[in-house]
Parts: sequence; C-alpha cells; structure tokens
Amino acid sequence: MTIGKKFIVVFSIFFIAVITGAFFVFNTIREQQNDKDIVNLAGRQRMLTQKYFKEYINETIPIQVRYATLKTAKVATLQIVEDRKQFTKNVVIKLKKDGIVDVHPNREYASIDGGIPLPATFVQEVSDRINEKGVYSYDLLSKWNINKEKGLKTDFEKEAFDYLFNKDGEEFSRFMVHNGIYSLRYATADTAAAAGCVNCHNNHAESPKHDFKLGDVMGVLVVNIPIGTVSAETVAFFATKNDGDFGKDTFGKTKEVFDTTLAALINGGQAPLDLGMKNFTTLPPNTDAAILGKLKNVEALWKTTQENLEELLQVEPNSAEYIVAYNSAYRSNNETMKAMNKVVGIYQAESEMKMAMLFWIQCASAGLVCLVIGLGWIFFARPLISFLKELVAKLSDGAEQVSDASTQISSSSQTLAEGSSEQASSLEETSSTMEEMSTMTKQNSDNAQEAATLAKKCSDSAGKGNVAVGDMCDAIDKMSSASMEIVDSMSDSMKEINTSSNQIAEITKVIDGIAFQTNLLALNAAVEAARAGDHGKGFAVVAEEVRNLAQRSATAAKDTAALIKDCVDKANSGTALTNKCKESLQEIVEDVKKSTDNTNAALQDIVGNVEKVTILTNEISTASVEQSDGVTNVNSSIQQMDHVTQQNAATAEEVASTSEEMSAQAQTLQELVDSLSVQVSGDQKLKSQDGQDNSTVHAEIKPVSRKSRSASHPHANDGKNGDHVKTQDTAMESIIPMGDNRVSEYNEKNCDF
Amino acid sequence: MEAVAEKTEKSTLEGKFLTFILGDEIYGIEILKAREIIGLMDITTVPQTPDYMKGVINLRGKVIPVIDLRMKFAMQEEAHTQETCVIVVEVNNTSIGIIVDSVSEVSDIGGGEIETAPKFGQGIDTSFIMGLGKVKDKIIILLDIDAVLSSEELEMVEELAKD
Repeated sequence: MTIGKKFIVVFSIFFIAVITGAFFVFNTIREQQNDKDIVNLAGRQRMLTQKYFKEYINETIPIQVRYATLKTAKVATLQIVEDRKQFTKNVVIKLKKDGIVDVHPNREYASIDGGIPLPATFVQEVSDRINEKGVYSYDLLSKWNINKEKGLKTDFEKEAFDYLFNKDGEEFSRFMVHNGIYSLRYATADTAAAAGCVNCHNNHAESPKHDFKLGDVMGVLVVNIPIGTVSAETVAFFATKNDGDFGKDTFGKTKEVFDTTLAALINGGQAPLDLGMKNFTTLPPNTDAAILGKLKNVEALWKTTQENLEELLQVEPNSAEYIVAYNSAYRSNNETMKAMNKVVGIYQAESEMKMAMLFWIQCASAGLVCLVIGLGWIFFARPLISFLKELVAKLSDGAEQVSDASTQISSSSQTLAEGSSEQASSLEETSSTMEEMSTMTKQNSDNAQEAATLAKKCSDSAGKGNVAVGDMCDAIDKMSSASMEIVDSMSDSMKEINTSSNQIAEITKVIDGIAFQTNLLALNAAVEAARAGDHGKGFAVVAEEVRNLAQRSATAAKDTAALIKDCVDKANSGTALTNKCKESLQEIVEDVKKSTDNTNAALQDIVGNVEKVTILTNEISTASVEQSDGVTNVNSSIQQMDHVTQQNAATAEEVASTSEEMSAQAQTLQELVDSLSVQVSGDQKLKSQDGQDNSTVHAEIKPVSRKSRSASHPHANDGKNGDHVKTQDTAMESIIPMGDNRVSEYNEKNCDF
Repeated sequence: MEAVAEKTEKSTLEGKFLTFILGDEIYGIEILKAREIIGLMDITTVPQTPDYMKGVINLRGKVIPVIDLRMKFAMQEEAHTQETCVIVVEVNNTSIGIIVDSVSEVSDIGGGEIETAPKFGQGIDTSFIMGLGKVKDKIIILLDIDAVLSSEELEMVEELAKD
C-alpha cells in the first residue's frame, strides 16, 4: 500500500468522523437551543402565575373602595330619607292633623312663634351636624326648590337630576373632587312620597312650581362621601374604566400570554417570547407523556385559580366569603406555580441529559481524532519522514561527493595549468637558449680545433721524446758517455712539451678571456637595453642569453684548462725525473736504465694524456656540431611543445571553470538538501554538519578556481617573473665561472709558469 | 621576454639593477645609473688625492676618474684579478668609474622584494643604501650611487676630469 493510498484511507476516516461528530454536535446544540427556549418559557409561566395573581388582587382594590363607599352613601341616603319621612309623618303631619294652628313649618322657624323646621330643613340641619364630624354631607337639590340656594349648579348635579327625573335609573354616582376632597357623589331621586309633601310644595309661597303630584321626582338627594387621598391608579380607574374593562391592560394580558404559552407547550405552535407578545418562537408538539400530564395538571389548576379569583369579585369585600375565596385563589395559584415548577424541573433534567450526551459525543469525537492522528502518524507521516530522511542523507552524501570530486578536478586542473605554465616558460627559455647556443657552439668548435692542433703538436713532441728515450736506451749500453747529451735533448723535449702545454693554457685562457669579454659585452648590452627602455627589453633578454652562453664557454675552457694542467703536471714530473737522471747518470749507470724506463713510462703517459686531450677537443668539436643540429631539432620540438602546452593551459582553464560551476551546482544541491532536511526533521544538527562540510568545500574551491585562472595564463606576470628570477639565480650560482676559486686557480697557474 | 616588458611598476625602487660583487656581498645599482662596464685598464694615478681615488683612465679619448669602491667602503684592498671590472656610472652628468671585484648580472627586482634600508641607530649613516633586495635567499644591497659619491668627491672628480 503506497503512502498516498494510506493517506487517502486515513484522511477518509478522519473526514467521516469529523462530519459525523459535527452533525451530532450541531444537532444537539440546536436541540439545546429549543430546550433552552422551552425551559425559559416554562420558567416564565411560574412567574406569570404570580404576576397574574398580584395584578388581579391589585385590580380588586378600587372595586373594594367603590363597594365600601357606595355602601356608606346608600346608608346615608337611607338615613336621610327615613329621618325626613319620620319627621314629616310623625311631627309635621301629626301636628297639622291634630289641628294645632300655631304650628308654622318654616326655614326661619327659630324666629317664629310656634315655628318648626321644614322636613328638608330638619334633615339639612341634622346633616350639617353630622357633616361637622366630616363623615358625609348631603344636598337636596332641585330645579324647583323652595330654597333658591339649593338649585342645580354643577354638571354632575344637572346630569344626575336629568338622569333620575327621566327615571333612567334609581341612582347616579360619580367619583370626583368635591369641595377640594376626592369624594363619591351619590345621587338618588327625591320623590313626592306623601300628600303632605306635594301640598306643602304646591302651596308654599316661595315654591316655583305648584303642580307636583304624588310620586313625582321633586329633586335629587346627593350624598357626598369624602374618600380623601387615593392612588392615581384608583383615580384613573374610577375616571376612565367601566366594569367591562376590568383587568384588560393588566392581568388580562398576563393571562393571554400564559394561555398562549401553555397551549404552545402542550400542543406546539407559536409561543410569545416577550410579554408584549410581539416576538414568537415555534415550539414542537409535546410528546413526552410525563410532561404532558404535568402540563394538563397545570392547566386544570390555572382554571381553578381563575374561577376562585372571579368568585372573589362576586362576594362582598372583606366578608367571610371574600376571605375564603381569596385563600382558595391564593392556594390554587401557588399550586399552579408548583406544578409548573415540576414541569420546569423535568425540562431542565432532560436538557441536562442532552448536554451530558453532547459532552460524551465530544469526548468520543476527540478520541476518534486522536486515533486518526495516531494512525496518520504510524501509516503515513512516520514512513514518509524516514524515507525523506534517508533521501536527504543520500542526497547530502551525493552532494558532498560531487563537491569533493569537483574540488579534486579543480585542484588537478590547477596543477595541470601550473605545470603547463611552467612548461611554457621553460620551453620559451629553452628555445631562446638553444638559438643562442647554436651560434656560440660554432665559436667553441673553432676554439676546440685550435686546441686540438696544439695538442697534436704536444703529442708529436711526446712521440719525439719517446723516440729519444728509445735511442737513449739503445745508446746507454754503448755510449754511457753520450748519455749526457741525450738527457739534454730529452730535457729540451720536455721543455717543448711544457711550452706546448703553456700555449694550450694560453689558448684556454684566451677562450676564458673571450668568455669574460662576452660576459662584459652582454652586461653592457643589458645596460644599453635598459637605457633604451621598453624598446630594449627584447634586446635585454638576448643579452642575458649571450651572457649565459659566454659562461658556458668559460666552463668548457675551465674543463680544458684542468686537463692541460694535468698534462703539464705530468710533463713537469717527467722533467724532474729527467733532471734527476741527468744528475745521477754518471754515478749510477745501472740506475740509468731504470730511470730511462721510468722516463719512458712518463712519456707514454704524456702521449696518452695528450691523446686524451686531442680526443676531448675533437669530441668538443664534434659535439658542438652535433649540438648545433640538435639545437635546431630541439627548437622545432619546443615550438610544438609550446603549442601543446598552450592548449593544455586553455583546457585546464576550461576544466577549472567547469569544476567551479560544478562546485556551485553541488553547493546549490547541498542547500536544497539542507532546506529539505529542515522541513523533514527540523534537525539542526544534521543541518549544521552539512553546512560545515559545505563551507569547507566551498572554501577549498574558491582559491583553486583563482589559482586555476592565473595558471591558465602562462604569460601572466607572476609566473614569468618567477621563472626569470629562477633562471638568473641558477646562472648566478652555477653558471658564472667567475667565483673566487676560479680566480685563485688562475693565480696558481700563473705562479707555475 | 614579453613578461619583462609587461612588468608593471609597483614601487619606486623596483626595476632593473646591475649587480656586482664586492668582497662577499652582492651590491646593486640602478641600471640607468650605469653607462657601461669595462675591463680593468691602465690607471693614471693622480697625486694629492685620497687613497680610494685610484686615478683616471682614458676611455675612448675621454678622461674618466676611477674610484676603488673597496677602499671607499673601507674594505681590505685586494689585488686586481681578471674579473675586476670598472663600472662607469653617471652621477650629476659626470661619468665616474668604480672598481668592483666582479660584475654579476642585470637583475630584475620587483617592488615586493625590496625592503627599505635598515636603521642601525643614531650615528650610523645608511643613507647611501636605497634598500635591500631579496632575490631567493640572498640579499642584494641596493646602493644609491649618488649618495655614495658625495658632492665633495664629485667636485674633486670634476676637477680631475678638467685636468
């Protein structure tokens, strides 16, 4: 199974797990939102039951006030009417019937003899006494009143009169401010109940109406019950509301909200979110039997509460029935709340259960994610990382190897270039040397020829000496007396040899002198070349080479001189022997032969040496000629070599630049490997190691490339200059035959001769 | 050869020097100071001159005073050899011959190979040394020939030349 396939499998599991988990979580959260709404609504229901009850009881307060006040007013009216009825029937009518003439019912009864108060006056006065206590006051008002002060004045009075006169009702009452105090004004019809009343009013002088009949409404009796300070709500209630509006804006609304919410909780549907019933939420139908049962119970208790409260309105306030009704309403209201409480509890428990389930789902999801990550690590990441690590290591090795290889190539090409450069300069030098050498070789050859000729003379002289010795040997036996002469001639031969040797020495000296002069000339030429500035530079080099050749010639002359010196030494020893022979010849004749033999041997040596000299000089001559030919060949070879060397240098340069490029590529590769290794393992150690390797490689490469560049120009200043110095140094140290030794050698020679 | 021509100036001192041997040391003078190098020839001594003033020579009809540099440098005088040479130098437009043990070569000394003249302290005059050239392991004492042949001697030389 490839890593890609593993990845797909693991990722698919992960994806499915995530989708499923997310679905569960979202679903549960949505349900939780619903539950929250339901719990909130159910909780609000509890509050609503309390609110409803309080509002209801608050609403009954003005009703109770009205009830009590009206009752007082009715009692007062009844009192007044009954007082007047009794006074009329038992006082006024009785006195009239009894025929007591001096009885005069009048308002000003106090100032009249036998005057008694009119029934109305009587009632009025009694009422005034009562009113002094502040309990109530009353007015007996009419359009046709005997007492003109008691006419209809206010709107209420006129309305009440019309209302009662037309017999629209038996009573007319209104809560209003009367004489500065908030009061109940209660009006009832004052009907002509007895004939006495009708007669009196019809016959009274001050009465404006005289056609009253029995049962006619003569006026209105208005009883004023002062209430005193009441709340604004109560005033508003009495001022604006009718009984039909009872609780419309207060508990009526609360009831509506409660009913709608309860219906939604039971059957599903729209449930108001606010008390103003403006925002709604849709609830699903309730399927939970336990909750449904509880909700039904709530519904029943709610109904009972309302019935109890309605009953409260039916009974007399503060009566025993009222207390009973209030208590039962209070109780049922509390039970409703408790029942609702239970419902809320069940809802909350269910919601919490769902939350717990959500928690476990989340735990399971987290576990699954961990599992998937673990699987991903085991099946996907770990093999991939190990593979990449291996790859990085191999790449790193490869890059290092490439880098090393390029460094090696670079250094090799550098070496090659340097070698080529050196070779080129050497070749150049060699070439010029060869050219100069070929000219000097000729001179050498000539000198060698002359040396050879002189050596031949020397050889001839030695041969003569040899013959003379032979002659002497023959003559010794015969002419010992003539031996002296022979010795003399022998001595002459020796001298001749010496002379020849001296001549050879002179010639070598001449060669040496020529070399010295050549050297001086070469130096002068160098001086002149230097004075000529840039134009003389080529000449300077020629002069240098001429000087070198002069020094070589000097060396050759020195070698020749050494051989000649050897020869001269041998001749000297021969001369010495001859002289010795000459001295002892007369005394020791026997020794002569032996001496002669010695002489002979010495002469043989001389001949041998001279022959050697001849051969050597001939060899010098031949070698010089061969050398000249060789120089030409060497020169052409050198030209070819120079060409090849130039090519070599160019190739080396190319190789160096290529290896540099390769090194740069290796560097890039190494960097890539580094970044990869960081990506793969973040391994700083690995990275730093690679970095070090890399830097060393790089450091090695740079100078190499620089060197190779310089090496690739064989004509560059440095290389050429170095070679030049080297050549000069060599010349100074070994070629110049002008050291102190050389001088002393000549001195010795001079001493000898 | 081209390399010599291409040689760039790096120091005021660098350039070609004519090197010669005096005693055990190698000396150098600027090549442009040298007129020519000649072998030793007959020197006509001039009376009433310092020891180191060896006399005058007749160089192609021109009278040139000759100074023995060994004696000028207070070195042991030695017999002249075949190698002994006279370097004719030009100082203040006057040709003077200086006798040296032998002439070595014309050396090209780069600026990097020249050190300034060492300071030995007060009282020791090294002003006639321009610098020390290092070629391989050897040191070439680069002489300021103008300083070596001071104006006093030059005057004398000029007088000799007039005579």
